[in-house]
Amino acid sequence: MRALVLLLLFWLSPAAHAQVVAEHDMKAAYLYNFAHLFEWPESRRANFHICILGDEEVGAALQGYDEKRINGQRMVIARLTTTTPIRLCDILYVGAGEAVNLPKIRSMLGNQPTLTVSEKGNLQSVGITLALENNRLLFDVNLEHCEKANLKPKPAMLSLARSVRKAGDGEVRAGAASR
Amino acid sequence: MAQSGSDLAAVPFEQLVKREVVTGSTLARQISDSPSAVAIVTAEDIRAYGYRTIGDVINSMRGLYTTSDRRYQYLGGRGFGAPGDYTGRIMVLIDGYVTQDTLFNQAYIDESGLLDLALVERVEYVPGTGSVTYGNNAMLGIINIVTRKGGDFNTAQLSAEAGSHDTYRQRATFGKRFANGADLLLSASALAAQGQNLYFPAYDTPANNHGWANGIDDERNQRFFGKFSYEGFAVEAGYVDRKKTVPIKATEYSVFNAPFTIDDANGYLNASYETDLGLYLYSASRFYFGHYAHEGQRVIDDPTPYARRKHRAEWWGVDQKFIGKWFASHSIMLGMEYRNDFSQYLSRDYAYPDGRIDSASSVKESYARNTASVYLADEYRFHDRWSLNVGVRYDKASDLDGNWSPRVALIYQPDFRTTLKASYSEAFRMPNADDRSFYGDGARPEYVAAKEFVVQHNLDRRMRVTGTVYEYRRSKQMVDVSGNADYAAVGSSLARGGELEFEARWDNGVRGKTSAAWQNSRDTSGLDAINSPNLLGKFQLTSPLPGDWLRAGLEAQYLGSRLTTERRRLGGVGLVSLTLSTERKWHGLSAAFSIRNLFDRDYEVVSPFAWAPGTGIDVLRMDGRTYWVQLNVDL
Repeated sequence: MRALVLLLLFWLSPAAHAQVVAEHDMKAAYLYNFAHLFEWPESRRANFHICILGDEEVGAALQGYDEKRINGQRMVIARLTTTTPIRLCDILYVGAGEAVNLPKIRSMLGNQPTLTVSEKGNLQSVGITLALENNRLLFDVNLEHCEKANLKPKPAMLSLARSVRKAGDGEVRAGAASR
Repeated sequence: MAQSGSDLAAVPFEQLVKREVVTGSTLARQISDSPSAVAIVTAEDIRAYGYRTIGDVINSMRGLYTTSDRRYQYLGGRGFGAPGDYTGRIMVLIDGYVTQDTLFNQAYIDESGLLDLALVERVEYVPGTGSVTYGNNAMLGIINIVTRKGGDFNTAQLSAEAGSHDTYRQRATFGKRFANGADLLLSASALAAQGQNLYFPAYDTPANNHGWANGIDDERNQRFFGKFSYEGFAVEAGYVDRKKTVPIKATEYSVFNAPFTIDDANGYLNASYETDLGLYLYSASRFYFGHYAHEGQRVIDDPTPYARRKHRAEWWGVDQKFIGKWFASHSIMLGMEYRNDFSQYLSRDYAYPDGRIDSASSVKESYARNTASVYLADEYRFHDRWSLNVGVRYDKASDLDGNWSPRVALIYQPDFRTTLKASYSEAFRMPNADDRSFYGDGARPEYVAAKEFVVQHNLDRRMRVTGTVYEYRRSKQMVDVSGNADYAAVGSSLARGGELEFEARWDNGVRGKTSAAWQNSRDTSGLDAINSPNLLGKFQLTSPLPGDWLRAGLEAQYLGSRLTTERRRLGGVGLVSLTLSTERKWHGLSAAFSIRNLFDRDYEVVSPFAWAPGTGIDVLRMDGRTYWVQLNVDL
């Protein structure tokens, strides 16, 4: 019991809280920002769908953004369990738990304008990957993939990326990353 | 203050990318959706500490212990674990399938269990009641076993084991993940153990071979397991047949040092389909079929010396569950289950030495039950840091009144490192076929009301502390009111306790876990409960050895003092085991070596036997030091 009390005191103490952001909260915030940092093709839908597959924590963190607006569309967060409805997604985040299904996801989506986001190491099969490095969340853009899907990243997006992969070449470093 | 989710929406992206981020915990996270303090053992722990049965895994968990009577291994913890209680009242699930047989509600956790541990990805122990989700029998806790995928093997593997007392096991496993996403796992294994000659001080008379039971401790099993999954569809089947010769004198009339054999077979088929119906509705459909058969024969001191049991049960069920996520702050679950225990067959008879059955002694009983259930739950995140989890399940069995099992839990996350959970729940257990046979029309359901408070705090991403306090009030337990086998459902009992656990996992491959559990439980007579130790301690530490080829796993378990059926106090005992396992494969080869009871402690556990008070039959001596070695080759 005493240990429990000490534990309670510990997390109540100011020292326990640093000026930092939890990984899943930051990933959610990035996904929200990506929605604003792309030019989306005209959509017939009233809602803008951000889907999360294979990461409960990011899904829960994104709930806080539900009903915010993107270019007049209402943002809707969908926490998916299976790949069945992914063709309805505007942004699809594929967490580590479902990364094994990326080839299938890619073939299901074809060239439709869905921005796929995943973890480090999967850049060849998605539009953006996220990577944690030196306590910062960095991202890489696969421009070739985005162009095929008819998605245009805004200049701010590319300048903040760690790297941008273009059609026909390996990796070309963007200006901001070489600072 | 640490910044939480939606505050970040207002931060411009070019500033956001400069913010410092802390990674999520490297420690295993619970899958089970439950507001209690879940304990987790993963496949890498199973390897590092040389676990061979689910019982071994359970023994390593905070607040739990097992007791063996050399027939079966039984689980105990949080005030339950009275000897002879067939590990009922807890539920063991394999990939969502409820494994207990329907005759005794027994969960098989020793070599009579369905799975080889090499096929297990993780085991989660969810303390507390689970009737809100699972209905009948999820009274005191749930053990969720998740099996590995074919893709985790992606090869054919052969395995051979050898252990003390002439114990051998062979296993062949094939696993593959196909390019189209289909996944297949097939496995078969066989165990054969000679066992030991065992000395029982309680029977040390010249007529009883001076207390020695010789050559009647052998055990064999065969196991088969297969699963296939494609898209959202999965089908899984398992079968185990365990035969054991039991060296104990199991009843008052049994003859000591005479063969007593038991044969338990369990099998199941579980087929499921899960899908998302649009963006907001998840659906999971399931069909299951289960089979259980028991045969036993023991020698008694009678003109008809062979006492025989032959039981058999089969059942099937369907379950349909929807989870709706239409509202950002709600996750609503609605489910229905129908279960048909269409065959519950119990038979007992006595046979003459020439095999003729004494027909007057033959008892054949047949029972059946079908149960229809609905359940509804809502996880309501009414604030950034707060959520409320409310649920209820209604079960109506053909032979019983309907029953409601509610649960309410409040969860508070003051920051991303800390979670507090407080819950209240009620659960129940229907009388099983064996109860109906024994108590007749007097058989009644039994109930429990549980309260629990949990604090979980990640000190950093490598270290976690979990603390919990709980109270279980059981009621309507069957008790013998007159002392003349005059049973009525009037008993109540109480268990209270607390548990504290520390886990760590460092980047250099070292990980460890240590816990202490205190429990105080009163049985239906109001006295300190039998076989319920007041203190349980666990310590596990594993580290790669220099050179990174080998890993060492050290485990210590302390089982505090507890009362026997004669209310004698058995002293506490500490047991240590050491395992060495290969950290990397060498040309597809891997190996493990374990020593159990490293210091060869001579210790006793509480036995379920009570017919000869004062002779020492209320305890059973357990094994001394044993060795085990395993060699695997990937083809």
